[in-house]
Amino acid sequence: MGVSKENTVKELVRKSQADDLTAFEQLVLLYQKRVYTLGYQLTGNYDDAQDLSQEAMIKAFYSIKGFRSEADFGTWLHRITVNLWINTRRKNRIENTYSLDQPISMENGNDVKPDLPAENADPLEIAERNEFKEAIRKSLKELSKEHQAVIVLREMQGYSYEEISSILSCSVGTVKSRLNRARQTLKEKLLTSNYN
Amino acid sequence: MDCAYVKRLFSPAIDGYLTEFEQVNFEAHLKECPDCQRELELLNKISFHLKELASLPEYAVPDGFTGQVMSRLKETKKSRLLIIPAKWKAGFAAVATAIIIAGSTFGLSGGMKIAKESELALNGHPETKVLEQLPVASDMQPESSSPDRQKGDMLPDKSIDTADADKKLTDGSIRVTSKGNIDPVRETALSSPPAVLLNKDIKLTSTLLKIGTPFPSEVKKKALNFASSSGALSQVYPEQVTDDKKIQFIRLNTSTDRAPGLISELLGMGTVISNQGESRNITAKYNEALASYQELVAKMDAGGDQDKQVLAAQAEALKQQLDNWTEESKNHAIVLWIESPKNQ
Repeated sequence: MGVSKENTVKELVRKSQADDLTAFEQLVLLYQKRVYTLGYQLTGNYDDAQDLSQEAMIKAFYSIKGFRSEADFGTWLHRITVNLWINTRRKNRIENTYSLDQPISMENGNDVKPDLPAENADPLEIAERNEFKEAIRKSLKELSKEHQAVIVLREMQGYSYEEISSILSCSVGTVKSRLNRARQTLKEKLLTSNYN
Repeated sequence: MDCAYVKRLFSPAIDGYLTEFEQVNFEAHLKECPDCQRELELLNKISFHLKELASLPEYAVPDGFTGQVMSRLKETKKSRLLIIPAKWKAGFAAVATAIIIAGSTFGLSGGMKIAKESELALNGHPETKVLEQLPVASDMQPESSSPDRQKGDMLPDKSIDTADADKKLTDGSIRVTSKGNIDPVRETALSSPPAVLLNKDIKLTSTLLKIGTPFPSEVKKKALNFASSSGALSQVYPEQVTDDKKIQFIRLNTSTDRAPGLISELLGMGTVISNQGESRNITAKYNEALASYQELVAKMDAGGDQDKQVLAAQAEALKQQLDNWTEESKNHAIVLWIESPKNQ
C-alpha cells in the first residue's frame, strides 16, 4: 500500500473513530474486496459470504475505537471476519461426502462421476484429474472451522505464521501444529473421498 | 529422522519455515523414503491448488455491497441510539437508571430469559438484536436468497431472545419488500397506531437497590433464585470493576403488586447502601413519540418524495418504543446493585 493510501486509511479510521459514517463508508469501499473474498473462501457460498462480510463490517464500525493505528486495517478486518465466522453456530452445516456410486455435483452445475482408481493407483494420479480442485474445496468444508480458517489464511490469503497467530489470537507454535494437522486431515479426507 | 517426525515437518517445509538443521535432515530422509516423498508431493499439490482457489471470479464483490453495509449500519445505529441514552456513559451513578430504560427497550418483558447472562456492555456497545432483526428496507435481501437464514447468525451469540423480534414481525410490524414497497399484507399495521393518545398518565416505576456484601456470588445466586421463584424475570449484566470495587447488576422485572415483597426480601441479602424508588411520568414523552409516529405514517400514506423505506424504518423504531413503554408501565423494574470489595 502506498504512503498516500496508508495516510488516507489512517485519516479515515481516525474520523470513523469519531463516529463519522461517511469516512467509514470510504473504508468499506476500500476494503470490501478483501473482506468479501475472505468471507467467500471461508463460507464457500455467495449468501453466507455476503452475510459474514457485511456483519464483519458492521462489527468493525462498532469496534473501531479499539483499533490501533499501527496495525494493518485490512488484517484487522480479517481478524474480525475469521473470528465472527468461527464463532458462528454450526447450524445448517452441509456435510459434503462423496459416494463412489453417485456423481459428484460440481458447483458449476456439471456432474462428475468419479473413476475408481486401481487399488495400487498412485495418489498423484488423482491430482491430474479435472475434479481435483473441486474435491479439495469440498474436503476443506469438512474440516473443523479452526482447521479451515488456518488453511484459508495461509494458503489463500498468504498470511505468515506470525500474522495468523495474531489473527487467531494464538501462539505461532499453535499455528504451526494446527496447520500441519489441518493439512494432514485435508489430505486424508481427500483420499477417503476417492478411495472409500 | 523417522517418518513420524518427518511428517510433522511437512507443513513447515511447504511454507519454507524449516530451520537449516531441519531442512538438511528432512531432505536426507526424503532421499531414502519414497513413502514420505509421495506424501509430500501430494501435500504440495494440494497446497498448489488451494493457492489457485485463492482467486476466483465468484469472489467479485456483489453490486451494492457497501450501500447495504451502510444501510444496515445506519439502522443498527438508530436502534442503538434509541436504546442507549447518553446516560450510559456518564458513569456508574446513571448506569442503573439506564439499565431500567434499556430493559424496556429491549423488550425484555416479553423475551427475557430467567437468570441468563447478558453480554450487554455497560461501557461499550450493547449488542442488541431486537431492532437489527427487523427487515427494514436496508436489511432486505432478495426473497430468493437463503430465506431460512437468520441474520443474527454471524454475530456472536447473545442471550437476548431474538425470537421476540421475529414475533414482532408476525404481530404486525412493518415489512418492506426488496423492491422497496410496503408489503400490503402487513401495511395495515402502519395505519393502526400501537395505542391512542393517553388520557391517563403512563408511568415507569423502578427501584434501585444498592447492597454491599463480601459474598457477591452467593447474593447473586440467592437473589436470582428468589426472583425466579416469585415469578420475576431476571437479566444479569456483566460485572463492572472499578479501582476498588466490583459491581454486579441484576435487573428484575416483576408485576407491580409483587414488587414490595421482592424488594423487602432483597434488602435482607446484604448491607443496604441505598434504596431509591422512582416513578417517571413519561406521558408527555409518550404522546410526543406517538405524534411523530402518526406523522410518519401520514407521510408514507401521502407517498411524498422521501424514501418510503427510511420512513418505514423510523416508524417501526418509534412503534417499538411505544409498545415497550406500554408494556413496561405494567411492571415494576428493580435494579439490584451488588457491591463488593475488589479483592473478593
